[in-house]
Amino acid sequence: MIFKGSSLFAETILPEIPSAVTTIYTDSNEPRIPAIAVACGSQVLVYRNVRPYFKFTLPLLENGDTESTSVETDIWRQKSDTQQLVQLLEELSIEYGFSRLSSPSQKLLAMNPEERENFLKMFGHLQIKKQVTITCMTKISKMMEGEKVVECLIVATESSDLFVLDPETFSVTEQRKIPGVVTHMVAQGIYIVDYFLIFSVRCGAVYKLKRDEQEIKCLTNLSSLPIDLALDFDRFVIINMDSTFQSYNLKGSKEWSILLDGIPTALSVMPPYISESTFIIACNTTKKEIIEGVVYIYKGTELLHKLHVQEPIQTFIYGPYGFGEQAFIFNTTNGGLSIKLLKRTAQFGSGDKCATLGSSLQQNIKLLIPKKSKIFVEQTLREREQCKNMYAWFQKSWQGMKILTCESYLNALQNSTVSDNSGLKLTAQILGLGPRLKLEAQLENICTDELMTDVSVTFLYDSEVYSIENAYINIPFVIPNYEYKFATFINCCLNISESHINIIVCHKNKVILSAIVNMPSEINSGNTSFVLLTAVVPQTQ
Amino acid sequence: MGLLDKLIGAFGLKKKEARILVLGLNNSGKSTLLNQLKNEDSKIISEVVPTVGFNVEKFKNQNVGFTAFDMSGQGRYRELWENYYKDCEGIIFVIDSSDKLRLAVVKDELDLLIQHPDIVAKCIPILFLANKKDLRDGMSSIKIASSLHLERIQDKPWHICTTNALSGEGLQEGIQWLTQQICDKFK
Repeated sequence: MIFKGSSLFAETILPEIPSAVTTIYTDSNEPRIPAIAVACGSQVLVYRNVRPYFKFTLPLLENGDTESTSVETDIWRQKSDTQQLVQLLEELSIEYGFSRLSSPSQKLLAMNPEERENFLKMFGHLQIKKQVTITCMTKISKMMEGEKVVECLIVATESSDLFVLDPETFSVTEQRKIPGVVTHMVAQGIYIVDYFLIFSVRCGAVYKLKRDEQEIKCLTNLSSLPIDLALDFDRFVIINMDSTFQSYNLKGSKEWSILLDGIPTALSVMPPYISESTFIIACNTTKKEIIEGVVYIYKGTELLHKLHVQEPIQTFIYGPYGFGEQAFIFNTTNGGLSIKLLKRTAQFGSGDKCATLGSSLQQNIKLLIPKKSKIFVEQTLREREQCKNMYAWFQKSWQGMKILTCESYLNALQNSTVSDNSGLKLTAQILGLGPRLKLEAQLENICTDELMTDVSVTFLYDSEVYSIENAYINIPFVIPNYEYKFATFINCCLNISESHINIIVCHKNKVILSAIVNMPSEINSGNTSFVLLTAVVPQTQ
Repeated sequence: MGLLDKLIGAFGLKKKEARILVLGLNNSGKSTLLNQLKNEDSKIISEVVPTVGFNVEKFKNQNVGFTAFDMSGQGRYRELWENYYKDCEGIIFVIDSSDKLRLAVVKDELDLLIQHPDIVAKCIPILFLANKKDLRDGMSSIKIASSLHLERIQDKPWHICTTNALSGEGLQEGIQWLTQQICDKFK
C-alpha cells in the first residue's frame, strides 16, 4: 500500500510476504522519482510509478550445498510412499542440518503427519529447488554523496550470503559469504569509493564489513539479542531484548547503555541537521495489565521527550514526509497508522540525564573530597605508622560484630513471638509412646483480612537426641480462619530425661513465630503424654 | 466606492500604500497567488519555483497600492517571518486545503503568529485563503476554519475564502475584503 498525505494512494498485491522495503533511486533521469524496492522471498521487486519495473532474482545456491540438494532431489524423484519419504528426509536433515533442506522438504517435515499425504499429492510433482530467502535489505549510494543519487541495494539472505545489486545494470555486482544470518544491517559510504556495513546476526553478534577487506570483523557480542540497529555518524546504537539501549563506537567498544522502561520495538536516528545524536525509541510498557506504547526521544543519554500512545507500537519510521516536514510514522499492533509531525520550534536542548549502566557516567560523578585538615594529616601519618595494629583492631571488632549478629539472630530464632502484620496461632501436640513419636500441629491465621503466603515450618532441635523425618514443611498460603494441620514423625535416639523442640514458623526468610514443645520425659516408660502448647501472636497492625 | 473615493480625495489621501505579509506553508500557493494579482506584463508565465527567503511584489487594488512580502514557506525560512511582523498592515495566510496532514502544522504556525508580541498588540486584518479549491480532496473553508479554531481570534478582523490561485477564482473577493479593512483603518 502506498499512502500520500493521509489518504491511501495505491495498493499493490505482492506474491509473497515481504521481508524488507525501501525507496531507491535507480537512474539519473530527471525528474528524480524514486522507485520502491520490496524484498519478497528470493526476489527483489522494484516498482516505479506504482507499476512493476523489474525484479532481481537471487542466484541459486552453489558449493557445499549442492550435495545435499542433489540427494534431496533424488529422494523426491524416487516417489516412494509418504512414510518412506519422510523418513529419508529426516535422515538427511540430521546429516546436513534442517536449514539446508529445500523449503518443500522443510514444510513437509514440519507438517502434521495426516496432512503430509495431501501436500505430496498437490506438490509432489514439482522439481526441488533450493531457494534463498532474503532476510534483510539496505541501500547505499553508488557513485557520489548527496541526496537523490543513484543507489545500490545490499541484500542478505538466510543462507548467510550478501549480495550487492546494481539497479542501473540490473545485475548482481558482488557476492560475499558472511558469518551468520543477518537480522539488521546499516551501510554508510559510497559503493565504488569506500563504504562499510555494520550488521547483526541471529546469535547476537555485531560485525563490520569494509570494502577491500576480506576479513569481516566481529565488533561485539551482545548480551542479548538485538531488536534494532541504527548508525549515527561515528557510532552505532542498538536496542536489545533485555530492554537496554546501547551505544558502541565503530571499533566495537561500548560507550554507554541505558535501561529502558519496557520492551523496545524500533529505533531511529534523527538527521544531524535537525539535531545531533538524537535517537527515537518506541517501547511497549505494561501498565496495570494494559500494554501501551511510549516513544522516547534521547539526545545521547539524556531523555528529551516522552510521548504516550494508547496502543502498543509495532514499528515506526522517522524521516521527511511530503514537503520536508520531519514526520514520525508508526503503526500499532491492531493495525492503526499514525503520523506525527515534528514542530518547527522543537528544542533539543537540555533534558534529564538518564542513569547509564556503562562506566561513562560513573567517571563523571564528582567525589566529595574534603580539604586536608590537620587532623586528617595526623590520621594519615598514624595510619601509615601503625597499620598493623589498626588492621588487627579492625579485624577484632569485625569479628565481634559478626558474633553479635549471630547471637542476636539466634536469640530472635528462639524468642521471636512478634510478627509484622499477621496473627498466627500455632497449636502443637505430641502423640505416641516413643521412641517413635508423632508431632501434630495446627496453624491458623487469626487475621480476618490478610492472606499469608510462603509460610514454612521448621524445627530447632538437638540432632543427637532426635531425628525428625519431615524437618521442613512448606505451606503455600494460609487462608484466614482455617486450621492447617500438619504432622511429622520424630524418632528418639537417646533416652534423655528432659528435652524440648522448637517449632519455627518462617515467612520467606523471616522468623515470625516460634513455639517450644516439651517432649515427654520418660519415653520408654509407657505413659502417653500430651503436651499442649498454644502460642498466639498478637496482631500488630 | 465612489463616495469613499471622494472622501479620500477630500482628505488629500488619494493614494495609499499598505505593506502586507503573505504567509503560509511551502507549496500552499503564495507565489502563484501573487503572480495572479500582478499586472499582465510582469506576470511569470512559466512554472513558479519555490521561493528562497522572500520576494517583494507590488500590486494595486482600487486606490490602495500593496507592497506584498512573499515569504518563503519552507521550514528553514519560517523563522524569517517574525522579522517582518513589526511593520505590516495586513496578513494574507494561504492554506493548502488539500493537505489534510499538514493542517496541524498550519495551526502550529498560526498559533505562533497570533501569539507573537508584535502581532498581539496590533489590530491588523488577517485574510485566510483556502487555496487549491479545484483539487478533488480539498476541504471546505468552514472545515478549515473550525480545525484551525479561527473563532478564537476576536481582537482582529479576519476573513476566510476559498481560492484557486491558478485561475484566480475567489481571489478578488478576498483582496476586496482586505482593501476594505485597510481603508477603514485609514479613516
